[in-house]
Amino acid sequence: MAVIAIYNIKGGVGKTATSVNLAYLSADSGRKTLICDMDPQGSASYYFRIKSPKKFNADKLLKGGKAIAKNIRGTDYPDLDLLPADFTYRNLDLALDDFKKSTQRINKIIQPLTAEYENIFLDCPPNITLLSENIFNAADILLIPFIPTTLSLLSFQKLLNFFKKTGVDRKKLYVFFSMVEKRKKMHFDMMTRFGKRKRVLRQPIPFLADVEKMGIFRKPVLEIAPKSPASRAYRIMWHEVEKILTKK
Amino acid sequence: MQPLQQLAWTLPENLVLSDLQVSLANTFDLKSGPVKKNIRRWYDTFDWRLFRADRLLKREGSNWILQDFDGNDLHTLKSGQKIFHFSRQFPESPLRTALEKILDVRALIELGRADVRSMQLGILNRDSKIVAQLEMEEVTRRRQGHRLVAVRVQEIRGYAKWFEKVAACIRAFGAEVRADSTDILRFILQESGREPLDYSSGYDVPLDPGMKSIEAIALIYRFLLNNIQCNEQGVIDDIDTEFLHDLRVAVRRTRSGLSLIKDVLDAEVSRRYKKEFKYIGGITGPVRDLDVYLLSRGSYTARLPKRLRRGMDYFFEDIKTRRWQEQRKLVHLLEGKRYQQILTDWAKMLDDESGLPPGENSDVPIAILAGKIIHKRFRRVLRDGTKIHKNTPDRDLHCLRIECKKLRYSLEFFSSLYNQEQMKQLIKQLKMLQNNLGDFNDLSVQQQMLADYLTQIRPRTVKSRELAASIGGLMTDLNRQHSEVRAHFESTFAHFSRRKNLDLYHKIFNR
Repeated sequence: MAVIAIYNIKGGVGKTATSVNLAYLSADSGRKTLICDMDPQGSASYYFRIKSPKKFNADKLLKGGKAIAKNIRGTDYPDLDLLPADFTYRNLDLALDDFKKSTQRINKIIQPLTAEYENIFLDCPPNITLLSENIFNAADILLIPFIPTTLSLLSFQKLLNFFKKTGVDRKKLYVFFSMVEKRKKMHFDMMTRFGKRKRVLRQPIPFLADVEKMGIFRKPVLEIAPKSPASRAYRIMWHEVEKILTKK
Repeated sequence: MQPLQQLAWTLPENLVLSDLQVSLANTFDLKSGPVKKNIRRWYDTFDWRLFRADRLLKREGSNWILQDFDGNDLHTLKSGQKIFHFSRQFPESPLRTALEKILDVRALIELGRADVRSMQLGILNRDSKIVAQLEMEEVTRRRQGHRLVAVRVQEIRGYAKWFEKVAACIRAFGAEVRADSTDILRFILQESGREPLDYSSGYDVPLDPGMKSIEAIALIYRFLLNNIQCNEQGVIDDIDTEFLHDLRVAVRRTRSGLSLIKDVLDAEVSRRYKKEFKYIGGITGPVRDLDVYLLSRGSYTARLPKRLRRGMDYFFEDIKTRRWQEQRKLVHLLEGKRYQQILTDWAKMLDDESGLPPGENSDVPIAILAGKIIHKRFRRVLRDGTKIHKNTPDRDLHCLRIECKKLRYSLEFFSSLYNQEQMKQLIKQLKMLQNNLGDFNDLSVQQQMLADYLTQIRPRTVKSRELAASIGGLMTDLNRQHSEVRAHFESTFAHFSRRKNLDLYHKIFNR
């Protein structure tokens, strides 16, 4: 059993693609898997063709229990369910602030679901907010997609500082290279500099059109092009993540 | 969370898979998966161990699938090797673990096979999202080409309304709801003449208290003869050890009946068949004895320290060879004249409409006779058991074991005449005593057998040295256990003959 959050301060770094494909692989190996779309943009929900139910909103999410269970939807794939995002999630921070232990609320909501699901994926919105702090507390591991550029490095430093400040266990943190273009020298240099560090996953995810096609076909890349190098990369990476999880 | 609903139907006989598909396509947007064609085989043990555990085992090509009766796949295994007889032959897997628990020493046999066309169908909403999942199967029996179409609909979480809509559509099509997924198996079995649970190794012959004794024993013997006959082929084909075991149990029960239920059957006839069934018991003995050794291979080896184990391998190789020889002899005898004649004559007599040749007590109501027989046996066990103390020779324990067996068979023959719950309890108590005596006897026999075996070893080879060492080690350990079991007898018997059990006995039999 594990809660896996995919997070980055920056947007457009491949969070949702990673959540969707890793969750798909988890379910494909026979583990009951839930993916929680926490991003008000609802991209993960979109990829699975699932609309937010009419009566579902941020308040229902924070209420937890039955209010959540009722709104979970089965995807087209066996053992893979999804809790869709709602546009009202954009105000989650304000709503969270009303709770007493405001940084533990999401953790409290997720815990009962672990009885039902072996792996729970949290697809997070970009930003550092109260919601992010909640997610850091709820997750067993945090996967940070990292495009190997200097700007990414800057935001990563900020994240590390934030972790230090809030006292979140930094051992939860795992970085992987995302949207990698091998021919770019900067990507290559950054990867050789950071690639051998602790808690950096060995397997990078390449920047490929196949991954972008997910938006057209509204399916995981592993369904669209199971033989694509992107699919292969996700498979190897999931294997790596599973290994980390068994050690935890 | 709410469990997901699923429903299964079978279609009316005159319809085929594509009919339903067309009808669904008129109402819903569909996503059809590929049509898969396969030969499917069903497996179980001869005594339906899987079926009794609410399980179905199927194979398609090299895919083995273990399902529950709701049609859910519990375990699947893909294996290059296609045929497995015993659970231990499967590669290490969750499927194997599940099978081992259920099958134990029994072998899988193919129950039947059929051509199967299967297809998955997704019902789509406006976003082309799958909102209900259909599984359709068209099963065609191989011989006469009879067909059965089964449909299963699975709810997708959060789309209960769609599930209802699809279910309504299939109902309107005239489909019948299936109670469980065993109907396909039953359909396949029609070809072979078998049906689920048609054999059990247990004894179950319901009697009516007012029945004439001669009618009651005819029912008992008929049941036992049937058991002998249905196990015969399995013994000849050497499918697993339990065919012979069950056959021998039925023979032994018949023999007990002949000697315990006196003067109901004509004395001359009784005498003949006692002799005849003793003969069958005799010819089937050697293979069973060797089977018992082979079955206890694991526990024998575990008794020895590692360095003595190699000798055990030689020992068991030898036992295997001997078993093979004895099995050949047995098959020869079972196909032989005397055995065949015994069973034909016995069957002819049991099936004779004018009834069995009667003895003096043939018209006595069975309930009266049963009470007398059981009482006699019970008293005998108590009398003999009480006499045994620390220094009693082993022989007396063996005699008591035989007495207990007689009591057990009498209780089982007539248990339907008494309170079932209480009877079950009494038999359970007796079983505990029998286990102690049985273990004691087995250990005596095994030690004797090993001692004999030891005298046949040719000395002066490395192999014989290792063999002798292993056997010596084994005998030591068996002897230690032998004394333990013996020491345990007194408390076991005291437990059996305690006040509470005697009261139970009096309550059941009004004595």
